[in-house]
Amino acid sequence: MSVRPPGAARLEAWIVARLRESAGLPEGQPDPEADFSALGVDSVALAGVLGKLEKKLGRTLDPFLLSEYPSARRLADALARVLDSDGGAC
Amino acid sequence: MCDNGGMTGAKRPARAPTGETLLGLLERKAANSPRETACCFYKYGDGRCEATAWSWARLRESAVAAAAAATDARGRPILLIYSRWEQFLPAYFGCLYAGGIATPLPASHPALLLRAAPRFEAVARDCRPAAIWTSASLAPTLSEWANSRVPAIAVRATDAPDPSAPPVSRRGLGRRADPAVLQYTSGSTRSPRGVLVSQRNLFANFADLRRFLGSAPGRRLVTWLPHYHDMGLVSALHALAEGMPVHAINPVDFLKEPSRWLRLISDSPVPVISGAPDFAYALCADGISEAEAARLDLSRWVTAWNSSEEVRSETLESFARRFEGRGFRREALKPCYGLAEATLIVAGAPPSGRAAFGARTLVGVGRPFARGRVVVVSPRTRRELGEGRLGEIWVRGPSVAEGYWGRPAQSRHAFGARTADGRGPFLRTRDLGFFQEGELFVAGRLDDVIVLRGRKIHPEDLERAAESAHPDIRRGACAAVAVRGHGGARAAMAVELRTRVPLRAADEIAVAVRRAVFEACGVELAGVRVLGRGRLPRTTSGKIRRRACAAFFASAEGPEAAR
Repeated sequence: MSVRPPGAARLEAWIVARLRESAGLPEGQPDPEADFSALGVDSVALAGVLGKLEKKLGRTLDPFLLSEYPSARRLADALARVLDSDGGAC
Repeated sequence: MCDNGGMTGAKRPARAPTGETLLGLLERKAANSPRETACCFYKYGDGRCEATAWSWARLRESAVAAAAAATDARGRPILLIYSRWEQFLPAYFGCLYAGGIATPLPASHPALLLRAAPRFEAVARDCRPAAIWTSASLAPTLSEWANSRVPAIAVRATDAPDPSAPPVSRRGLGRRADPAVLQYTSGSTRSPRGVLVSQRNLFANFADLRRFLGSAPGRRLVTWLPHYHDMGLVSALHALAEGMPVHAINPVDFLKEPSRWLRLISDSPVPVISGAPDFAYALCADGISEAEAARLDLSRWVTAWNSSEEVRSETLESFARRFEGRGFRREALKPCYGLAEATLIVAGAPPSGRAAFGARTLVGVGRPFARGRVVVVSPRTRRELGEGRLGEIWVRGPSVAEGYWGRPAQSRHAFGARTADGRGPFLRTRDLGFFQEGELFVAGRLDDVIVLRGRKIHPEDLERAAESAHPDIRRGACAAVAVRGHGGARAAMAVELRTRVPLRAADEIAVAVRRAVFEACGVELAGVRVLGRGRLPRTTSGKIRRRACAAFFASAEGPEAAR
């Protein structure tokens, strides 16, 4: 695996925690590499997580990110890459 | 070519003349109250909210501009594919100016748009549209599909009109007999059915809506509902017709942050009418932080209607309790019942009581607005059933649409039903229900359609996607069913394998099924059950018994229960 962009691991942990909250999953879940569609989380809950991410990062996020990067890890990596290239903190 | 008195000079009557059409309304308001706010659109980004108010004059100008240089669409459908209210609304009226039949379809991000191509294709085959109208951002992607099909369909971006285009040659303001909308919310993806709603139907429904909602000038509609859904479109047109400004946010902005909806209601200086399907109330009751809630004042929310999926008493209770301290009045919550085939609303007059139905407590959806409009009928004998007896809900009256576009036989069956004693014609709703003390209760579906957040999903669509998800799954051996999760209805799937025992891990198959169903239909399954060959419940003639499959998920409360 290639080197992850800076901040990706922290962002991933944060996304995993929000998913756990909205799906009512036990500690240690969900697997950051699992597809969102495999978590039993519905699109309404996913959109809510995206809204919280927007607040955290202070920028607008397109919902299509969820389909393009459909796991906590892939989403975190994609977002971290963008933030890194923008010089933004996360 | 301005007919009916024209725009300039002559004052139009301040009050709606009888038989006024939607365009008559737009012309009258633009002439008499050009600067008054017709609608206000909200844009969220980078932590800010930007509101843009549109006057009646601006709405009319934008509609005329959208229609400019339109090819003649007289009496032919125009697909309206937009992701935002401020793009859709002028195009809707522009479509009427061009003489076309407005046919709204859902749009998503350009990157995902082509996933919806099978649906667009099926609708295009069904109604043979004269054109596709869309936004500049979606036009290139849509053109890819529309130009490659046979025959090609012309795609126009209406939010970036060509200034050199010749002015629209309008055909007058139309008549009440003209179509208001061709609504594709029923039917499966493979076999979509468009409900043709006339302006006469629409205005008849407005009269019921006015009584139900308490509509009056000086109030406003706040909406986050999608414009391509009958509830979103008809409620917005109704508000405009009543002189109530429409304050609209886009569905995705609500889903990202549900408090935005309540914030908009709280910020209104005038009484607010606003409604949504049950899940939205549940989302607000559970998902809004204390800090956000503390800033709300919901005392001016006079009507909070709840419709288009099952109204749950837990939701009403938890919402009322959560926001009582914020000025919300419990009486404002108004369950109601309706469907696109009847334009929108069918029942909703007070009271809303409760009824026991098996282990469930059902919430009443109000009384019908006129006597004899709604009956509960035995689908077998077509005899009207008395109070407390469960049967199919049949509807008649001036709001019931003409039928399905281009499907005379299906239309006759669905819209031309007669009771055993010869009364009719009635619309068969396929919904099951009963009356209790004159109030209607909806208990489920006569068919296996799954109602998810106001969307009617045909199980066949989900099953087709599941079948092709994995080579081990047997063709024609998947069953999609509705299950009750803690947030309302969810879909679940039982799949049968080609082999008695899974060759590969059932987990892997379940994941593939979830992904395929989500990609094809945008539906997240609450559970997947993988069964060995011969284990899927069938009738003796080999037909899959979907209802029996629901038992696999009976105890499924949460994502882990059925894997």
